[in-house]
Parts: sequence; C-alpha cells; structure tokens
Amino acid sequence: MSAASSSARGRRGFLGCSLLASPALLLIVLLLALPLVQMVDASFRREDFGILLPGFTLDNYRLILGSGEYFELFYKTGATALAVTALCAALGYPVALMIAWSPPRNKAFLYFLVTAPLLINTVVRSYGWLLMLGNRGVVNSMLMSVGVTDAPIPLSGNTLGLIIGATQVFLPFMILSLTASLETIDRRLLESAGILGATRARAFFDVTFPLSAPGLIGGSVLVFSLMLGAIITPLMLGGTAIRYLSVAIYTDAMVLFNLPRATALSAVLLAVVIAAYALQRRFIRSYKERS
Amino acid sequence: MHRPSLAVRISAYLVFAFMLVPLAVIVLFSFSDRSYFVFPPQGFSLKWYVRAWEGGQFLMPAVRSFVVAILATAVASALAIAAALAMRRLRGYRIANVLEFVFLTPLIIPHLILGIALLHYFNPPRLIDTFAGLLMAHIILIFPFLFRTILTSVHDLNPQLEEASETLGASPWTTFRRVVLPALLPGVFAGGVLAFIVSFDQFTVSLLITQRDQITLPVAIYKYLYDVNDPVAAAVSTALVVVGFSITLAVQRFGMKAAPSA
Repeated sequence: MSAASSSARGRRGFLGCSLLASPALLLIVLLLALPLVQMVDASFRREDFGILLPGFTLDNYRLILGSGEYFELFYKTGATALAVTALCAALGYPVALMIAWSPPRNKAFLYFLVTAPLLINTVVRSYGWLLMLGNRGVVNSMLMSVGVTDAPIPLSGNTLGLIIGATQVFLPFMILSLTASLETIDRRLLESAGILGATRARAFFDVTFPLSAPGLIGGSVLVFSLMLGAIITPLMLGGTAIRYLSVAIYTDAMVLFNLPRATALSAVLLAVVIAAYALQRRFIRSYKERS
Repeated sequence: MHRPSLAVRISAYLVFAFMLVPLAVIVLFSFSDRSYFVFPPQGFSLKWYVRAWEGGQFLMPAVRSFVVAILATAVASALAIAAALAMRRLRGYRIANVLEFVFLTPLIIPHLILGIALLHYFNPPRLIDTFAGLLMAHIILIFPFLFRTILTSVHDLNPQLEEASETLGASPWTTFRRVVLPALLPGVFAGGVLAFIVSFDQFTVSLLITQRDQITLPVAIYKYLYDVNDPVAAAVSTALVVVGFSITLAVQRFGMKAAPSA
C-alpha cells in the first residue's frame, strides 16, 4: 500500500515538491539569510558619519574582543543573564511542582495563571515593574511607611531593577519547561522513596531533581538566550546607563549610528546563543542515551 | 498519592503573587485621578480611558498592529501549508531534516539580531518605517510557528483519502481544496492563533524598523512612557491585560494548550 502510494507520488515527484517548498525557502533566503549575511558583512567594515565604507577590516572585532571595557560589558551581561536564569529556576520549581502534582481540575487554572502573563506585552509587564520599583513606587512606599528606610532605595534604573523585572518576564518559560519534565516522572518512585524512609527533601534531591534535569537545562538555555537578546526590559528597567550587551547594541545602532560596531556585537551575541542551543541539544541527546 | 508539601505550596503562591501583582498595580493606576503614581492609590476616575481613546496616539497603532497580525498570519499560513506538504513528500529523505531545520531557524535567531539585520537590509530599498517592511518582518517572525503546527497536521493526513479522491477523478486542485485543506484546518487554526499573538505582541523588531509613521501598539506605549508617562499608558496597558487574559481563557476553553516557545 505505502509502496504503491509513494511510487504514485514519485511521478509528480521532484518538480511538485520544489514548487511547493520554494515560496517558503525564498522567504527564508530573502528575509533571514541575506539580512544576516549583510549584517556580518557590515561588521567587517568601517563607517564614516553613519555611512559604510568599502573595504575589509577586523578593527571592530579587535576593539570588542580585545579591550577591557568590552570585557567588562560581556562579563556584566553574562552575570546578569545568569542571575535571571538562576532566579527563574529557584522561583519556578515550587510552581512547577505544584502544577505537576495537582489534580487535573486545578491544573487548568494554574496553567492559566502561568500562561496569561505570556500573552501580555512585555512593555506592559515592564511598565508594571516601573510602577512597583520607582522612587515613589509600591515597594519604596511600603518600606518607607513601615520605617525600614527614610529615603527611597534605588530599585530601578540599575541592574537590580533589570534582574527583578526580567525574572518575572521570563519565569513562565522556565515553569512550562520544568512542568513538562516533572509530569513525566513516575510518582510511584516518590512513594517508594517515602516508604523506604526518605524525607521529602531527600526524595526531592535524590529522585525529583535528577529526573527533571532535562526540563531544567532546557528552560535555563531558553531563559538565558532570551535574556541575552532581550531589549525591552533592559531599556525600561535598566536604562541606558547600565552595562548590558543588548542595550549597547541598541545604542550603537539607533543613537550613535555606528552600524559596524552594532553588527559586530550582534554577531558575537548570535554566536553565543547558537552555542548555547548546540550544547543543550548535545546534553539532551546524551541524557536520552544514558537512560 | 504524592502531593506537594505545605512549604512548596506557600512558595508557589508567593511566586504567583510576584507574577501578577505588577499587572494589578497597572490596573489600579489606570483608575487613579492623579497624573502621577502614589501608593496606596487615591481617587477614582475614568478620564485616562477617555483620553486614550480621544488622544489618537494609540488608535492608529492599535489598528495597524491588528491589520499586520492578520495579513502576516494569512500570508505565512499559505507559505507554511505549501512547505509542509512538500515536507510530506520528502519524508524519509535526508534533505527533509535539513529543510525542516531551515524552516525553523527564525525561532533561534534573537529578535534583537534580526531587527539589527533588517534595519541594515531595509535601508537601501527605503523599506524602513513603511507598512510593507513591517509586514515582511512579521511574516518571517511568525512563519516557523505556523510551519511547526501545520507540519504535525500534515503528518497525520491519511493518504488513502487523497488516493480515493484521485481515483474518483478529482483534479489535484479539487483534491487539495475538498480533501487536504479541510483536514489541515484545525492545525492551521491552532498555529494561526499562536502566530497572531506573536505578531501582535512583537516589539523589538518593530521598534528597530519603524520610526514614527508605522509604529505598532507596543512601540506606541513604549514611546508614550518616555515622552509623557501619565496614566493614559496604564489605561491602554489595562486594555491589553484584559485582552491577554481573555485570549488565554478562550484558548483554554477550546481545549488547546497555548504552547509559546519563542
């Protein structure tokens, strides 16, 4: 049956196939591949008052990869993104555990609470944190009325505000990834652990945590790479004064019109993100082979 | 039955509060009668909603966001259906894996980088701050979401139905229209809802390739916050919060899991 159908299909074969696939391929080539190639090309050029000059230079990369100033930028960016990822994991675990082990009735509502913020624009969610963390914001008003502090604590316009806001923005991705992994765990394993005398904490660290590793790794890579490419929350809660890679790219491209440096920084960022995905794929594959 | 412990449940509720309180604060602020933020909120007024509607800074961008999302979803669906059908014919060949990877690459590229690339690419043909440029950018952004869902439906298609249709003398076009397309519709619909949401929410690329004439709603809110920053932005944001919650509810009602993995 299937042999007959595949030979019937073979007659219309290759031509039909390329006709069907070519519009989408054209889309990818024209609006993704070519723009990216031109971007990398621009990163090897010099500019003069915002205009690209012909020729080839490694100066942009030499500046970015060789100077202490840019080392500090990469270091701070990496540390900030790692902090957000770690916070998302720490805050995401209890929620994921609760969703995974809830009866189906409650599960739908809990899923709703996690996914609804995802459908609200990041500009709006970051704006909420601006109102929370500003000098006259909710947190400072409460702290001052209780008497913890006399003057407002600077919570926004710096890296701290960025980390708090971004954690809320990316938390749903971590929760969904962890929940998907936790739901595959056979709960009888945990009951056995309990019967054998393991405390809840022991059962978590010996059974639940190792078995949810793929979800944790997947969620962490997702949050980390989304955070590296994020621009809204860094601009709104960090401001242009903070040292953050995406803000530096934005400033170079839109304020200073230094396209070569903006594109060189983008190329570095792209390389890091692709490396993170490749590492994750390799890890997931080796994890599947072991178990 | 293994249930989460009390400590886990309390921490989970605290995290839910962490996620939802900032949204509640926006809603409260939008009904305030002062133009600046104070906590606890004082007074009640609907004037910011009236101003948001009458001011006009948000109406055109909102309409534009909606139209771009609809058009981009329609074009990308057509391309994704064709591509997914091609993938079925190539099933089992090595090139199928390569093609599938190529079609999904827009998911891996961070929006900031695609935005910078398009900013440079769109400049010579004067596509910056045009509707055409905006639409093209949104099509490439949402294509993989449609392709992924439609590909699943295509693999579930029963080839015997098509053979029956051909045996009965139907032309390939009739077979596509009467047999293949109806079978794919649920997948197209599910992917279309997701693609519409992704396009409507898209900020980064829209910010980079528009300036003033063709800004979308999220960009308009962002620019307003920088220029004026009064509760008008909160009123518009509240409208978006309501829309977001309603769509989530509707999607859950219809039994699909919103699976955003951008």
